[in-house]
Amino acid sequence: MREQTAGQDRHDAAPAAASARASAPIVRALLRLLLPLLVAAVVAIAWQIYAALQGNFLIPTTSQILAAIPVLLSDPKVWNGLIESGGTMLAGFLLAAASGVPIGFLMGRAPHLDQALRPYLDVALVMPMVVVMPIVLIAIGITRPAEVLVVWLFAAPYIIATTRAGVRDIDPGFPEMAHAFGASEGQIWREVLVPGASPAIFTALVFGFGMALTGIIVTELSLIALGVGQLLLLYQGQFDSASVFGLVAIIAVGATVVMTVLRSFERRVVGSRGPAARSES
Amino acid sequence: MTAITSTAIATEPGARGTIEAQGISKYFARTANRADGQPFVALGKMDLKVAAHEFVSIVGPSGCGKTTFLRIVAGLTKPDDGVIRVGGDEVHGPGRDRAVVFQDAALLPWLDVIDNIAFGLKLAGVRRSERVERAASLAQLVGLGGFEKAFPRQLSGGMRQRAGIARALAVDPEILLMDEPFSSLDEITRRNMQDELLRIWSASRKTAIFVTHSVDEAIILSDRVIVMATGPGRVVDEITVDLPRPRSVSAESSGQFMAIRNRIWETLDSVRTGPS
Amino acid sequence: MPQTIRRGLPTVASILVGLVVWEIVGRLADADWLPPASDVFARVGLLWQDGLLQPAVGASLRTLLIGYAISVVLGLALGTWMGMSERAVWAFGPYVDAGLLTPVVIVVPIFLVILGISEATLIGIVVLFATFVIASTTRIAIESTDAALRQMAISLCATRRQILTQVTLRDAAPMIFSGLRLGMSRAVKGMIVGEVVVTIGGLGQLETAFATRFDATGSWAVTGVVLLIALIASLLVQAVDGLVNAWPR
Repeated sequence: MREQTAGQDRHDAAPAAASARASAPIVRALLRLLLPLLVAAVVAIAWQIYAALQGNFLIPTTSQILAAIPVLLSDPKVWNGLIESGGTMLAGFLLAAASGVPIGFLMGRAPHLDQALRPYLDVALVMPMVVVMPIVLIAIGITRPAEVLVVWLFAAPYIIATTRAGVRDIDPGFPEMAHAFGASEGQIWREVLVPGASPAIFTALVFGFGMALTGIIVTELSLIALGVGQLLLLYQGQFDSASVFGLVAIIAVGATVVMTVLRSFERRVVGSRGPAARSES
Repeated sequence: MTAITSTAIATEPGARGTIEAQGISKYFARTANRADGQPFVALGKMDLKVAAHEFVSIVGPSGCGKTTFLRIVAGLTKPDDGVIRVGGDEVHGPGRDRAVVFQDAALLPWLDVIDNIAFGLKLAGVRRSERVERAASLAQLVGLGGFEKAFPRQLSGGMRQRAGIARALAVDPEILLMDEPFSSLDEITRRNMQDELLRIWSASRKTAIFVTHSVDEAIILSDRVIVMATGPGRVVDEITVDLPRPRSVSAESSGQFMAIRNRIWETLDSVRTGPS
Repeated sequence: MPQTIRRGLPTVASILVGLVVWEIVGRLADADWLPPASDVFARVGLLWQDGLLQPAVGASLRTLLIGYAISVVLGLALGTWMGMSERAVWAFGPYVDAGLLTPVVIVVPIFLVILGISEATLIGIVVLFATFVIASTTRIAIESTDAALRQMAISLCATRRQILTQVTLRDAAPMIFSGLRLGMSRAVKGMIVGEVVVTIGGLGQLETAFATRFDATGSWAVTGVVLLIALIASLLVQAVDGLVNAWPR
C-alpha cells in the first residue's frame, strides 16, 4: 500500500482544490454559498448599469425585469401558456419514454437489431432536430400533435441511446450466469436486465426530460408558437422587453429547478451504479 | 529506540552532496478515520545525516514515514517541524541538486523514451539537440538502447523504471532520491534491476536515498540501512553494510548479508505493535 | 483494412436499405411531407446549380466557425480555471451546470433584444450552446489528471506555467477533446436553431423559407446538407484530436 502522502498535501499547482486546506470549514461553507450569489449580483448590477446607460426602451434594466416577474406570475394568461406548453412537453416526453426505453433495451440486447438501427440512432443524435421541424409542420400543420412529435424527436434518441448503453454495460457474466442456472429469456429480463439497467434508465429519463424541454422551447420560439412562444411573440410585438426578459427568467429558473431536483433524485437512485456511458444532453 | 548520532562514512558537514536532517516532524490531519481528531504522526523528530557519495536505504513497514521523509528531502512536502540541509543549504523546495525516481516511474505517456529522459533538461531550458544527445547516451547507459522511440505504454515495468532512472540522472543531480522504484516489478525483473542500479550507480556514485519495503533490497544496494517503525514514524536502527563493492545481487548468499538481514528482521519484529 | 471494411459493412448496408425503403415508401405514399429519396438528392443538386445553396452554407459555416472558436476559448479558459481552483468551481459551477442541464435556447429572445436580428445574435447562440459542455468537460479532464506526473515535474523544478502547459493540459488533452467534440455537435445545433429562430441568412433561413412554402422536398434537402455539415464538423474535430493525441494509449 502507498503511504498516505500523495493525496494529502499539495502545495503545487495542483488542480482540484489547491487552496482547500488553507481555509477553515466555516469560511469554506460561507464562500461556497456566497460566491455564486456574488457572481449573480455582479452580473445583475453590471446589467443594470449597462441598460441604464443605453437608455434604450427595448433594453430593460435589472430592476425593471425584477419588477415584471411578479406581474407576469399573477397573470392567468402566463399560467395558461406555461401549462399549455408544459402539457405538450410532458405528452411528448412520456411518449418518448414509453417508446425509447423498450427500443433502447432491444438494441442493447439484440446485436442484429442494434447493427441495423445503430446508424440511424447515431444520425438522430448528431442531427439538429430543428431542421426536421418544418417537415413535421408540413406533415401535421401548426397543431398540438406537431409539437408533441417535435418533443418526441428531441427526447427519444437520447433516451434510446442511454438505455442501450446501460443495458450493454451490464456485466455479460450476469445474464450468462442466469442462463447457466436455467433461467428463461423472460426470467433473465425480469431478474437481471431490468434491475441492472434501471439506474441507466433513470439517467436516460432525466436526460430525455432535459431534451424535451429544449424541444418544446425550440418549437415555441420558431415555427409552432402555441403556448409560451405565443406570449413571447405578444410581448415582443408590444415592445415590452421587460416582460420578455421576465418570462425567459421564469422559464429558465423553473427549468433549472426542475432539472436540479431530477438530477439530485437521479444521483440518489443511481448512486455509484451510474452508467459509464452518458450521452450528451 | 537507538539514538542516531554519527554516520558511517566520515564527511564534513555542508559539503556538496550531503544531506542533514534535524528533528523532522510531519503530521497529517486524518479526521476521516480518527474520531478523536488527533493528527497522525507520520514522522516524529527524525534525524539523519547522509555523506556525499553514500548510498543509504530506508526500510520499514507501510506508514512508517519513509516515503514522507524522502519527499521532504526532495522538497515535495514541507515538514511541520525541523530543518533539512542539502549541501549545507536549507531546503525550501525542489532543487536541481536533487532528482527523484518515482514508484511507478511517472513517465509522461505522450512522450517517447528520449523525450521523457530529456524532460528535466527541457524544463531547465536546455537546447533540443543538446538534450536529445544527452538523453540518448543515458538511454544507452540504463540499457534502453533501441527503445529510444518507444512510448511508455509500449514498455515493460522494468523498462519504464530504467527510463525513470535515466530521467533523474539526466539533470546530473548530486543526490538521487528513489521512492520504492522497484516495488511494482516482479521478483525476477526486480533482481535484474537491482543489479542494473548497482552498475549504473557505481559509474557516478551519486549520494542516494533509496526507500523500500524489501529488507534484502536495502542491504544489497546500500552502504547503510536505516530501519524505521510506525506510530509515530521513527528510526529504530541503522546498520552499516560493509559488503565489498562492486556488488551484485549474488552477494545475498554471503554470511555477512545473512547476519545483517537477521538483525534487521529482529528489529522489525521487536517493534511490531498492534495488528499490521 | 479488411477489418474496418467488415466492421463498417453492416452500417453501410443498413443505410442503403433505409434509403431504398425511403424511396419506395416515398413513391407509394405520395405524401406531401415524404418525397422519395431521389427527389431530395436531385433537389440538393438543383439548389447547388441555382447557386442558392452556396451562400447559405457559407453564411452558416461562418457563424459556426466564429461561434465555435469563441466557445473553445471561453470554455477552455473557464474549464481550466475551474479545474485548478475550487473557488472558481464554487463561483461558476452552478451556472455551468445549469447551462448544461437546462435548455439554453430559452435565452434566445433575450439575445434578439440585445443584439437584434444580426449575425452577432447567431454567433451568440452558438457560443451559448457550445461553451458549457467544453467548460464542464475541461474541468473534469483537469481534475482527473495524474497527480504523480505533476509531482514528478515539480521535483524537476518545473514552473507553474510549465506544469500547466507541459503536464496538466497535455494529460487532460484526450478528455478535453471529447468535450470539444460534444461542443462541436452542440455548436451545429446552436447554429441551425439560431438561423431558424432568427431567420436571417444561412441554411436555417432557407429551411424556413421552404417550410412556409410547404416545399417538403426543399426542407429535406436542407436537412440533408445540415446533417452532412454536422458529420463533417465532428469528423474534423476528431481528426485534430487524432493529430494532437497521437501517442499510443
